[in-house]
Order: sequence, then C-alpha cells, then structure tokens
Amino acid sequence: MNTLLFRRYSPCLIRLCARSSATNFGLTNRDRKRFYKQASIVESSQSPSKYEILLDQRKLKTPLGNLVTIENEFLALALAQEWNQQEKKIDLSSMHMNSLINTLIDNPLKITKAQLIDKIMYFLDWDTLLYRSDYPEEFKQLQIKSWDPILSFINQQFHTNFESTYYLDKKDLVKKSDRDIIEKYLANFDQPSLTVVLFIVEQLKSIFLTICLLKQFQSVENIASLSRLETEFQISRWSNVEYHHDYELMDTCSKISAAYLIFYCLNNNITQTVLSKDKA
Amino acid sequence: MATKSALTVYKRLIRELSPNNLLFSYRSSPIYLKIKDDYRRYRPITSKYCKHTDEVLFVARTYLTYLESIRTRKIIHSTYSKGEKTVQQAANIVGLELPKTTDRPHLPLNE
Repeated sequence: MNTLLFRRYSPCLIRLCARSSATNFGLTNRDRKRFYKQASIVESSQSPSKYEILLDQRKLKTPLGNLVTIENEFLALALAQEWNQQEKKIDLSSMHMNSLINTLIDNPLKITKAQLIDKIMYFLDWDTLLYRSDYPEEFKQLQIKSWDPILSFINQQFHTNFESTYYLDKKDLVKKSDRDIIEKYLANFDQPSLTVVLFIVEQLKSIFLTICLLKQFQSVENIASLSRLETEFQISRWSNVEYHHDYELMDTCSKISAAYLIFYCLNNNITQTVLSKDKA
Repeated sequence: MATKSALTVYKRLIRELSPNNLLFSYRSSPIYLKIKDDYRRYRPITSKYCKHTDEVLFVARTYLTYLESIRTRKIIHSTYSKGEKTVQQAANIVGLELPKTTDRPHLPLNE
C-alpha cells in the first residue's frame, strides 16, 4: 500500500518507510492503534535464561532494531504489562519502562561510563539539599525538618561531612574527599545502571535524594515530594492547581518509580540466586 | 498516607492490573501470577535470603506507585486538555444556567 501512495516520490522515501515498519512497527512516527491482542513473555531461544517480549507472536524490538532481551523475569513481565495496558491507542509517552529499556539496549548517544559519572557528579556541586533559603521562617523549619534527616543518613552511610548553607556565594562547600567518596560509590555500578541513575538524578535534581532512593531509605512518593519541597510549601500557602502541580508530581513519580524498578532488577537478580540456592 | 502494609499493596496492585475496572480480569495479565508467587515466597522472614526487612515490599510498593501515577496522569491529561470552556460550561460548574433568550432577527438599522 505504501508504494501506491508514494509512487510519485523518490524511491529512497519508499525504502525509508519500509525499513521503519520492519524494525519497530513504525511506532515512532505517528499514533498507532493497538494492533496486537496480547503481550506475553517467552524464554529466548538464542540465549536461555533471558526473556523476550512477544506482541501476538511478533518479537519486540528497540527503535534501532535490536531485539529486546531482559534477564530478570519480573522486569520482562512488567514490560509486557505495560504493553497490555494500552487500551486503543499506543501511548508511548506514558510507557517509561519501555523507553528506558530501549535506551539501555541501544545506547544511541554512545555515552561511555566515564562520561556518565561526570554528568552525575555535575549535580553534586549544586545539590538542592545543600542550598537552603532562610526566608520565610516556616519554610526554613520545613527544610530543616525534611532535608536534614536525608543529609545525616548520607553522612552516616558514607562517612562524609556534607553541610548545608544559607548563602549562595560560599566556595568549596563540597570537599574534594567527600566528592571522591561519592564518585567511587558510583563507579561500582555498570553502565546500564548508571544510565538509569542519571535519569533519576535529572528528574529529582539532587544526588542525595537519588542515593536515598537507591538505598530504599524513603518511599518513592516521599522522595518525589522532598525534591519539590518549595513547590509543596507554596501549595500549602496558595492552594493547588491540579492540572499543573498534580500532573508534574505524577509525571515525576512515574518516571522515578519506573527507573528504580529497572535499577533494582538490573542489580538484584534475586530469582536466579534463590533458585540455585534451593536446588543446591 | 503512612507506609502501606503488604496486604493493602497486594489488593491495590490487583485493582491496578484489571483494566477498565473489570473485576477478575487481572487473571489474564501474566504479571499477576508472578506477584502472587513472589508474595508467597517472600512471606517468611526475608532475612533468610540475606535481605534486610521489607526490601522486596519496597519494590512492590514502587510498582504500585508506578501503575497508579501513570493512571492518574492519564486522567488529569484527559480532563484538562479539552481547551477553553464555553460560557455555558463555565456556568454549569457552579450549577448556574444561562437564561433562555428568544431569538428574534436584528432590526435592520442601515438599509
């Protein structure tokens, strides 16, 4: 059907259309209706103990054409659930796990691990939790009450000495030794995990909150509201605008919870180790 | 809302998995069996598998947060993306109605 419509156009355009539908069902271009009845997972034939996603007998691929293989069963099932949850139209903007996994497998920007660590460390010097405002007085107390426990948790975990300040012109607030400790902690993770961590840091604008999430210190909703503390304070003063504040909160919550699930599944392959312990 | 218990998380997960509020349709989703099995497996003390308390429950809570926030975001988007309201709709929000006018042709002023 494509050839009939584009007969007058150059042949390279026809090839482009045919190629895009072969790789990922042409999903990136326009609104697609749900064209499959059921999304399920199956164990891959090439590499056993890895799972693939099937949309009605067709294997799911990333935008660059790579096959989507996942080691963790829970993650594969959650992806299949995401595809099953699309009702009539496929809403790619709400499928955060799918887009994150595509990025992890494809690595389209060809970022190396060192570049990722640099990007994450960039957020440390101007971390939200370190720079506080001392006017109005209620907000100052709110910051102390909400953010100080996080800082003390981080200091206790890493034996560091991060302090907050009320001035914007203080130089070298973050000491070099503390910086190196955090950098060494980040270097422990492999590249896909670091991509996920960078994604979370960009949503929360704070490294300390990200580390708290990774160590399960606070629940996801608490972390999301801690990252937008000033907004919450203003909402309590001037009331909530649902289509902006709630939308933003739900957006942040969904992105960081999807990212955390992927991070947990990448780094804690519990099902496999438990099974081997039972059998042995 | 303080931290939710394992049972409430389980119930809300099942409610999220059933699309369009059809009860009992969650059985068709493949992830339901996995959640049920994991709940049974991790119910005894999680320290048996060298994990600190509530670690797997945190993952369950996170997945619940994910599903709920996606659904809420869609609802907010569909409610507020319809554009500006007409005068009639704006009056209807507070329960008022526009008065009924009789339509008569305008007087020809410049003829």
